[in-house]
Amino acid sequence: MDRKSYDNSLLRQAMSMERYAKIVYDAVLPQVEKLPMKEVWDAQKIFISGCGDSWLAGIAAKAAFESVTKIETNPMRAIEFSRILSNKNLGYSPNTPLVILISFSGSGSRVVECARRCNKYGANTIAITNNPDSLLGKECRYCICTGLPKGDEYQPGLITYNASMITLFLIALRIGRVRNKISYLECEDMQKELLEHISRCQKEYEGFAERAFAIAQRWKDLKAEDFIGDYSDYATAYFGSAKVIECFGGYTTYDDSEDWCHINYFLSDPERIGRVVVANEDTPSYKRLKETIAAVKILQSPCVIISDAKKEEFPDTMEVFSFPKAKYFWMQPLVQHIPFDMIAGYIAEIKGIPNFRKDDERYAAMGDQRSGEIVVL
Amino acid sequence: MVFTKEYELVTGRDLLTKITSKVDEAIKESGIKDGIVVVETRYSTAGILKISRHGEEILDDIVREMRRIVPARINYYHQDSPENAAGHIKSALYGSSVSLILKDGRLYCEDSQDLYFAEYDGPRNRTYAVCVMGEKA
Amino acid sequence: MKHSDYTSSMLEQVRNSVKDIETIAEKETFEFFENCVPYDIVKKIGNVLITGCGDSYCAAVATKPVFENADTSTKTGMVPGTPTSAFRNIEFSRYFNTYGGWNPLTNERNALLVISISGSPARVNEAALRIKKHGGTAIAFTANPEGKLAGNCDCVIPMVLPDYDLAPNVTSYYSSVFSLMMFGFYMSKAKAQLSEKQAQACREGLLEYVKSYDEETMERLSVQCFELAKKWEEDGVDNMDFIGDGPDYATAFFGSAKMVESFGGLTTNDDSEDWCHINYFIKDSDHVGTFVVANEDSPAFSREVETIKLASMIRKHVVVITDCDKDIFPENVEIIKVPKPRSVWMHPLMEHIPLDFVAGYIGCWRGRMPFRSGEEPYCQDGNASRFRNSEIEIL
Repeated sequence: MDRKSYDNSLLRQAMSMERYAKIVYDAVLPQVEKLPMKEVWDAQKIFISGCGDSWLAGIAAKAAFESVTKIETNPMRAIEFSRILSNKNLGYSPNTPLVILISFSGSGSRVVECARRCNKYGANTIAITNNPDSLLGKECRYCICTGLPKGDEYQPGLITYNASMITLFLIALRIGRVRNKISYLECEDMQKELLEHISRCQKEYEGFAERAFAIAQRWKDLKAEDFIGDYSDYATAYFGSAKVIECFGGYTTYDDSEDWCHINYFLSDPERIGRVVVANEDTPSYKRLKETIAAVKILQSPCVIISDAKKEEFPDTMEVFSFPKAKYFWMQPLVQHIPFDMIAGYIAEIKGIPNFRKDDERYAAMGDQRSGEIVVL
Repeated sequence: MVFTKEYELVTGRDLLTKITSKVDEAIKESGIKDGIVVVETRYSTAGILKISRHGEEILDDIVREMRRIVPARINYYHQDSPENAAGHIKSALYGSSVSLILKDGRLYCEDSQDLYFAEYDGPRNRTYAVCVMGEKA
Repeated sequence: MKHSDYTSSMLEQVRNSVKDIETIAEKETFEFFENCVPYDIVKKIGNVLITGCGDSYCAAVATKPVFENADTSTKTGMVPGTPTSAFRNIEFSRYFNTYGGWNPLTNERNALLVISISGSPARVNEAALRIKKHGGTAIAFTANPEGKLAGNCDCVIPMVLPDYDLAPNVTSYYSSVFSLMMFGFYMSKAKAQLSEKQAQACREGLLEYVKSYDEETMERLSVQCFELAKKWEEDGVDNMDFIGDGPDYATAFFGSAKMVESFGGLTTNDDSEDWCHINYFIKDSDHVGTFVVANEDSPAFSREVETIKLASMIRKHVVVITDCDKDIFPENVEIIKVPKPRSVWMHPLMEHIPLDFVAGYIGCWRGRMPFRSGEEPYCQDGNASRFRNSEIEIL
């Protein structure tokens, strides 16, 4: 099989990540620097919300926010924020909490509902969107436009996910700087490192694509994919699972390294379930992840490991995608979703399935109805 | 004649870094015995200070008082960061250069005071220059 | 064979749930909790943290609103409570405050409720030791008061569980949920957030709700779930998708775990919003079974109804577990009507029963051992190495 004839959207997006990262960085940085000091200072708690990939960007950025701002940060499912979260958490002090709402289009009902709820109770809001004229852009007190060129290829979301993460990281740095938790020098270095880490990793992608294509051929007929990751790396795991569904509708499941041992370990036909584990060397649960990987080995499941550790750290029966170490550990989620994006993209192409079930008109007909009624509680 | 030399340093947070020995070194290198010495930093959130040598606690007092007089507040018009905005003001108020008299190859204040690089928004990579003007012996 | 001819330890646990909870309730009075965790300890709790592995984490999610008393409407008669967070066990043990730092001013007001029936997994013990290291109070909810976890905690709630053979556990879940809810009422009473009378009313409301799953209801649920499971087996449903919001997400998560434990079924779960963005696109929709937990008084109910409509347009097997009437939902959706409690936050104690029945019946037919016990290759790794002997690190 000739890999070149199985080109796909996720692969193209992965290959142009460096270029888009620079576009987003240049567009976002000046906007972030204008966020007023007083309001940034007032934030006693931070919520990050959005739907699907946007929520995952919040999880991916949680460690960065905690490390750099030292403020309690809660990524929250959009429905949880807009309907379930107690009002007591909103507007209990001026400009608090700071609520960051993410939506590429800015039109999803649920994020708009979140923004309106914040406005009702006096929380501060920042929208991250590519459409500042959208409902979300208008509802929020501040709007950061990610500046991605209109009309380019962004589906299934990969560049948009990265744009959300880069924007979140830059907001975190702004907050950390204003609150004097990081110095000018650290801030400058972290900003620089954001782009440099992406560039360093980009050099690996041609080789990754080759291996991803080989794995896709072996994995295309598996029963399901099962993803494992902890804390911010849970976002990478979950994102991989979402891409499987979006690309070819595959069956997936996901969990953390501890609960996986209690539940998903028992899935039937383990040899027909592809396991993907995100296990970075400096993460506090690294040893637990390695124990979990040992259990995966017993089950003889095909397994891909995404890590910044050396290949030799893991069983030699497993495929390891080794990433360069990030100078700041919290930057790893920016890039580590790439290997499985490639695998998912290739499987879809090999199977001849279009993204988002476009081959089945039942799915296409529902497109508009995904938003729904807005209720402000 | 005029002799100028530039020095680099990495500062800390709110740190006064003694630079007297570097200034002496520049003076010696210049070979000038009588004249004027100017020490200056080009940054607007840092400064050069001449401070008494009598007790480390004086340094602590100076840092504390500078912060009290110009605290890092959130309501400055300059919105980079509270530390940075306050740093600009400190630099303007307390000065970013000092001029010193050089006599017989020695600084006039040498017996009682030291020279310091004052960081108001660190840590950062900084430079400062020592310029010696006068006649060689 | 009809539904009642099938029997297993799991099905027994489900069928006996009302009786078992009533037995537990007889013991777990307010006095019982006061003896376990005295007033002076409870009163100083300013921040409730709840954790556990697997089902125990579900119990934490299910009972969070009871501690928060988030619903301040007169409907529940509850008043503002204590900030509460439910954590995945690994998240609490290794990541909570690891990057942001602990706050020495509030550390001693943290209370960690650690749930583990056996008390033996390394991770729950690690969590207890960690909260103590940082000045907080560790409270064990365990059926093994002489076990490791009990020894590592400051206070112990000794849970008494009826004895059943090895099975995907249902008893442990409802007893954890019940004990946590009761502890929540007790804590609110101790902190004068609920009056004696209000706390008693909460307890009575809960027991009244348990009783509403009377014989007739249980029989109806059992028959309906039996028929449903049979149909899904015949139709070749090979993937199950669970949807729920807030505390009902715990039910969805728990239901999905039971399918895995009972017969190794492939499952996934999500909330009603994100499902529309991701799981909506799962292929082969005729072979995916979708369960939605949608109760009328849930703040997310209107969204859940929209999601159910969407699901019904692309999927053949959509089941709604609800306390409201059928006419709100599309006709091609199967409704499993469950009793309505006095307050919506009580639901997680009982509403998982239909899911347990489905898992139990399919488990009987597929002939799989619970937890793949004795099956290769699963048995090569005993529980001991997978979670009991996992290395403990206290950060």
